[in-house]
Amino acid sequence: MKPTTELPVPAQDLFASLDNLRIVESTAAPLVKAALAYVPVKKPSREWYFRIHPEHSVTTLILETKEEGEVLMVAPALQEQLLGENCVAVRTLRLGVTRQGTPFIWPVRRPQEGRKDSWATTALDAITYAEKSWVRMQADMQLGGYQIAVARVSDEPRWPEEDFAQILRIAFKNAIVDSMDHPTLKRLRGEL
Amino acid sequence: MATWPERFDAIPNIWVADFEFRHPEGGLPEPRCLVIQNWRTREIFRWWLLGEEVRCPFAPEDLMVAYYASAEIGCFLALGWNVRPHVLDLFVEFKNELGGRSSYGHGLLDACHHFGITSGTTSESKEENRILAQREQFTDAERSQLLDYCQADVEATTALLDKMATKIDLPRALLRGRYMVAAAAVERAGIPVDSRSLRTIQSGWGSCCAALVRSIDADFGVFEGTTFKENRWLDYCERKGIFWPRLPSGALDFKDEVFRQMSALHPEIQPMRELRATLSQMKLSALAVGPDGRNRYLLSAFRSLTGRNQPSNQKAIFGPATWIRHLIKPSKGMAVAYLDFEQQEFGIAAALSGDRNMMEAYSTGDPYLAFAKQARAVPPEATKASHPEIRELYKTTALGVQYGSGAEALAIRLGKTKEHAKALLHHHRTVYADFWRWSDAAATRGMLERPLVTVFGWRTFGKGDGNPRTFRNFPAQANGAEMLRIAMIALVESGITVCAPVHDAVLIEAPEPEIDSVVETAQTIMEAASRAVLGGFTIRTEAKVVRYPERYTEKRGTEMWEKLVTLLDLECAESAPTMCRNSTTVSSN
Repeated sequence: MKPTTELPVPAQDLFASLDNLRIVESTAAPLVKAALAYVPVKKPSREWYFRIHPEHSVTTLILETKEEGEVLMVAPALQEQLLGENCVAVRTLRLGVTRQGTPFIWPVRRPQEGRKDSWATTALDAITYAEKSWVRMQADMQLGGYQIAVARVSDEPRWPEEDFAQILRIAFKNAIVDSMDHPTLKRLRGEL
Repeated sequence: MATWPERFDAIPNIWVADFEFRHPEGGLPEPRCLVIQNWRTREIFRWWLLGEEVRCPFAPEDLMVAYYASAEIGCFLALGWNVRPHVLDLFVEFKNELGGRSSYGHGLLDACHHFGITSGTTSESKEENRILAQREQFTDAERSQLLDYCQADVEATTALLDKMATKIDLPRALLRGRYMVAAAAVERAGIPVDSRSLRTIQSGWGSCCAALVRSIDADFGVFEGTTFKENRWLDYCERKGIFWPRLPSGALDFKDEVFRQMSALHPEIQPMRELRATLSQMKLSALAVGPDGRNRYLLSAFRSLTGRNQPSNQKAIFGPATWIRHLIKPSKGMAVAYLDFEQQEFGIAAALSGDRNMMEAYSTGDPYLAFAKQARAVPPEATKASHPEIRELYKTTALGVQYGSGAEALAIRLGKTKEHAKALLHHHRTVYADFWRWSDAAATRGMLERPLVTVFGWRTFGKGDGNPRTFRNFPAQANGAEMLRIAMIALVESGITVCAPVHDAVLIEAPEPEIDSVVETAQTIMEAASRAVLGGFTIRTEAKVVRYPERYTEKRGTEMWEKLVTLLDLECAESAPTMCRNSTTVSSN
C-alpha cells in the first residue's frame, strides 16, 4: 500500500464537541479561608490607596500613646469617668481596606471646634471620597492639610467577611483599657 | 453531530494493539508485525506485515488501545491504512493518573509494575526484539519470536486497561488520543532541512569548533583553547559591570537558564550562551535527519509535567542551540511558516483568572506597556517608543511573575536592587489582584496535595517537591499545552502539513503559491483553539513565512550562524560545493 500522511477526519466535530468536555476552572475555588488575626489601628499610610466602609463606624473614647504609637480603646464602663481627661480623646473608628484587601481601623479625629483645623477637615474630605472611590491621602505641610488623590479605577473593595464588632475585637485585642489600674492609663495620668 | 463515547460499553469493539517496527533515525517507520486483542473476548489476532498486504482490522467506530499510540498510528500511515478508530493511549492516561507522582519511569513495564501486573516481557527482551526488528529478512523462527514478543506487550496492555478502565475519564482521554493521532502525522511530516549545509558543517565540525571559539571568544577572552575558564568569565563580568548570579556554595551559576536570563538583560553575552550550548549540548551527528532531508523525531507528547511535548534536544532541530535552526529551509516550490500564540501565558492567566485589568491589558496588543499604564508608571498616551525602558521593566516583571520569580530573582533579571524589584511586584499584586487570588489558590491547592487540572483534564500533583512555584506556573503552562494540542489536532485534520510544534508555536509547510492562504486558515484555527480553552477569550497569533530559497532565521542565533557561514564557506557550498575551500563535496538532496 502507498504510505499516506493523512487519515480520515473523525465524525466528532472537534470544536463543537469541546464545549461539553471543558471543565469549569476548579483552581479558583479556595480551599482555605484567610483567618483575620490582626487589624492595624492607624491612619492610612501615604502609599496606600484605600476605601472606607460607608456604614461601619463607631465613636468612642481612646487612649493614644504618642511615643509607642499605641491606640487603646477605653471600655464603655470607664468612659464616663475618663471623659474630659487630657490623656484620652474622642475618635470615630472607621473600617478601611487597602487594594490588597487588608483591613484597618482608622481612628478619625473630629475638627476642633471654633478653630481652622484643615488637617482634620481634609481627612474627613478624604473619607467622603473613599466611601465611593479608591483614595490616597498624603500630608502636605505647605497646605497644612492632606492632598487627596482619587484613583480612576472602578473595581470594588474586598471587605472582610467578619462583622464590624468582630473586626473591632480583633483590632483592639489586648488593647482595651478596662480598669483604672491599667498600666498605660496610670502612666499617662502620672500615677506610675 | 456525533458525540464522544462517554463509557466503554458505548463502543462496539475495543482492541488492544501493538506494532513492532523498524524506525531508522530521521526516517519513517517500517512495520514488521501487528498483534491485536479483543478486550472483551480476549481473542488474539496476529499479522506478519513485512512484504504482506494486510487490510486495517479496525472500523472507524472501534476503539484502539495502545501504549504510546503515535507509534501505532505512524504504522497506520506507513501502511496506507485509511481507517481511523478512536484512540486511547494508556501511556498518556498512566502519566495523567500519576500526575507527576512517580519515583520510576512511564514505560509499559513501569506501568505494569505500578499496578502489580506480571508482564511476559523484560527490559532485556525489549532490547533484543528491538534489535531483531531492524532486520530486512526474517526466518520463520524470528517471525514467531517477534510476534510472541509483540503479543506479550499486547497482553500486558490489556491487563493494564483492566486495572485502569474505571479510573479513565473516557471522553477527555479520547481527546488526548486524538492528539496522539495528530502527533503521528507531525512526526511523519518532519522539518525540511538544508541537508547539504548540514553535511558541510558536520564534516568540518572538528576544525570548526576551535575556530568558532577563537572567533566568538575574541570579544570575551574567557577560553583557554576550547575550555571555558570560570575565573576569566568573572573578570569579564567585572569589566562589564555585570553582576553574575552565584550558587549557594558561592560558585558562579552557569546553568543554561541563568545564561538565558542574563542574555535577556545583557544581549551582548548571547553569542557566549550559544557557543556554550553548542559545545556542551550539541552532537551534530545526533540530529535526526532522514535520507529525504527531513528532521524527524519523537515528539514525546505529554512527557513534561505540564503535558507539553518534550522531544530530545539532541535529535530535534529546535533544541537549545538556536543557530542550528538556520538549517531549516523549504525545498524548491515550498514555503514554511512559524506561527505562534502572542504572549500566550499572559493571555491564559488573564482569561482563566478572570482578572479584568489583565484581560484589558492583553486586549491592547501590548500588555506590558498597558501594565505600566495601569500601574501609573507612564502616562496614558505613552508608547513603546516613548517609554522603552519603563516598558521593559514592566515586561520583565510580568514575565517574572509568570515564572514565579521572587524579588531576588526578579532583581537579577532587571539588573536593579531587590527593593526596586519588590516595588514592581507590589504594583503587579495591586493592579492584578484577581490574578493573584487565582494564582494563590493554585499554589494552595497544590500544597494541599490536591490535583491541579486543566480545562480538558490534564492534571498534576507536582513532583513531590512541595514547591508552590510549580503550582503557580502549572495553569498557564498546562492550559497552553492544551491549546497547542487542540490547534494541532485541528490543523492536521484540516489537511495542513504541520512540521513540528515548538513550545507555544507550530511550524507548518505548504506549496509556496498557497502559503499565504494556508497561514490565514491556520491562524483562524489556532485562535479558535484558544477560545475553546479559554471559554471564548482569543489569544492572537503571529506568523513568520519563509519561502524557498530563503532559510529560517532566528535573531538569537544569527551571530553564530554567520560565523559558521564564514568559517565553512556555507553560502559558497550552496552554490558550487566543489569550489569551496573548507567544504566537503556533497551530493545534492
